Amino acid sequence: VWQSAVKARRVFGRPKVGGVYTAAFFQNEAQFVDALRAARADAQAELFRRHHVRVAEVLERVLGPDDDLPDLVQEVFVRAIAGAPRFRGTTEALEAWLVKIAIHTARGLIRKRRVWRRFFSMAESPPDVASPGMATHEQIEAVRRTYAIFDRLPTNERVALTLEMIDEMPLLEIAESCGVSRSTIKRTLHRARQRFRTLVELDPALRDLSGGGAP
Amino acid sequence: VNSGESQLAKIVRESLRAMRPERPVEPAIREVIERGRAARSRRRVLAWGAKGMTFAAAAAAALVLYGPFGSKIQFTVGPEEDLGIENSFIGSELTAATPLHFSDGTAIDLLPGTRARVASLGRRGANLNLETGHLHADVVHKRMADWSIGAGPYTVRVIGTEFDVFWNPDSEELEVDVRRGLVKVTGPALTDDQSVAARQRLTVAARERNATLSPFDPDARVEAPAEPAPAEPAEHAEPNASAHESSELASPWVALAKRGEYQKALDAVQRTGFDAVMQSSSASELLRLSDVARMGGQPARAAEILHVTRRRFPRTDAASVAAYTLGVTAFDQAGSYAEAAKWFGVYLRERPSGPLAAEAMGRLMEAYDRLGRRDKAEATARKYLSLYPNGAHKDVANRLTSR
Repeated sequence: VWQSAVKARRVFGRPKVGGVYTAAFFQNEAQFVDALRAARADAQAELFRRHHVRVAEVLERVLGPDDDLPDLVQEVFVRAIAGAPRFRGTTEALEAWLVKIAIHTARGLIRKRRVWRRFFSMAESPPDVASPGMATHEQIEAVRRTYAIFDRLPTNERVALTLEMIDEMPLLEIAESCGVSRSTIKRTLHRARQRFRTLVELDPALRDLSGGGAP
Repeated sequence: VNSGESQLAKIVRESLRAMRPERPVEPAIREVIERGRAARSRRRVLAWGAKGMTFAAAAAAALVLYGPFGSKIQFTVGPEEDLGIENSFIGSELTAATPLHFSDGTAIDLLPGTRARVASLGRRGANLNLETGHLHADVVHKRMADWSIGAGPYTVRVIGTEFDVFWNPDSEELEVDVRRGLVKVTGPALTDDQSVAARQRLTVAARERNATLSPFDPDARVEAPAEPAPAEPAEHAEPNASAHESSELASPWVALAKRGEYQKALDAVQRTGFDAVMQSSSASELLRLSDVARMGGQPARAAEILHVTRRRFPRTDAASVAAYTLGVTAFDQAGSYAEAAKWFGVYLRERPSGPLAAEAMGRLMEAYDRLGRRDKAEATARKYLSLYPNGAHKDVANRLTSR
């Protein structure tokens, strides 16, 4: 029974963290992608080193400050590693591919949290900012109030608007990352901006920060 | 995005950057790789589990469909619904049909004067051998149903349909009328499997090697002829037939027999005197009288009449039919397989290509098998398969030859 439990833990449980993955040196980029597809640990480590900052940035900008962010970054890379054998692009396309996975993961999390809130009849509350880092009180307040408004937008509109506003992602790239057409993303963004402006008008502090809604 | 919103976005971007704590990369890398490995192992286990479950489900489905589960179909005979026995002879009366009801819902009516037997029962159907006469079948359509009707050298394969089969072994004529569904017929004068669809009639004359497929109106069919085909052997070879036809002595019991009143017919013969009747009757009347005696519950008397038939009309068709009937009586009613084998052998020597040759050879093979004479059973089975590859006894023959 003990042996079976140990085996089950090995297969299904959270594995022990151990070993060191040294920086890999690949002769060329094609070799790197091949190694990634072949599930080589050094290539996976290299993928994380190259792109974890951008993935964390996208997740943070879509979700706002979140204690689960490190876990979410890992989740994105675990999904990427699982899907690597099916990746058919070059190294240039890796970042866009990872961003797409990150957006998909963020969207899933937003929806899941909304369902939980509805299920437990929890009132929508502004997100807590538990890791202030080097930020001032004013900065923390600005972020908290802005993401409280994003939280009130429909999921697709929230994702599209945060990518456009906070991440400054080009329109075509937003459409590709969200897996919709250019005209669809234009319509989504138009609706999102209108809602956002209406809600900002109701928040005096944000209205001041955005210069009173001047064009 | 207007300038105010851009300004707000810039503030938020800078704030997020300021709020972001520094985290070491290497531990995160290790965790990602380990989590990736665990996820891969989990997927592999789940994939094998799914494959295993698919295989188990397929195996279970195959076992249910083809496995040794479920019982054979059962059937009842007659309006009293007596439990039918596999491979036993069933003769309908001369005036009334005999219904057979099968446990899968299939109903087969043996019309008056018909002789048949349920040669084998399976889990998905049965094989019925029509020796002579007319049957009406309403086979319930089921997936993988396996029904067949053997008529002399012909086999009618059925999935689910309503149809009639007429078989006259004397003239070797077959008629199949399909009311609904589709049947397939194999046998002499037919190329491969002859399909007969709804509202079609297949008529085959084996001797002329002639087969015709024509339209058939199911509503136009009148009752089957009340005159029974079985007990009417060919009389062209009977030497003294004309002298004995329609004798005054035979008349009263023949009329009673035609009405199905066997006991009264036997009483009438008794009053006249059996010996007198047997000496004065024609060959066809004697064969009918033996049927009456057998159906009237006097098998010994039936056998005696058949022996008389053979003595009075030697080397005729009637004598050979009597030999065959003696074999059937010994096989089905007395369980005397040695006696049965003897008489089937006699028939085959006298009429090697006669209308009852296939059935006689099949029964001879089965009699040898039941006697435990493996060599003879196997040799007969080989001969049977070479002459009648689609005959009603082919399953038994295949079993014997593969042993």
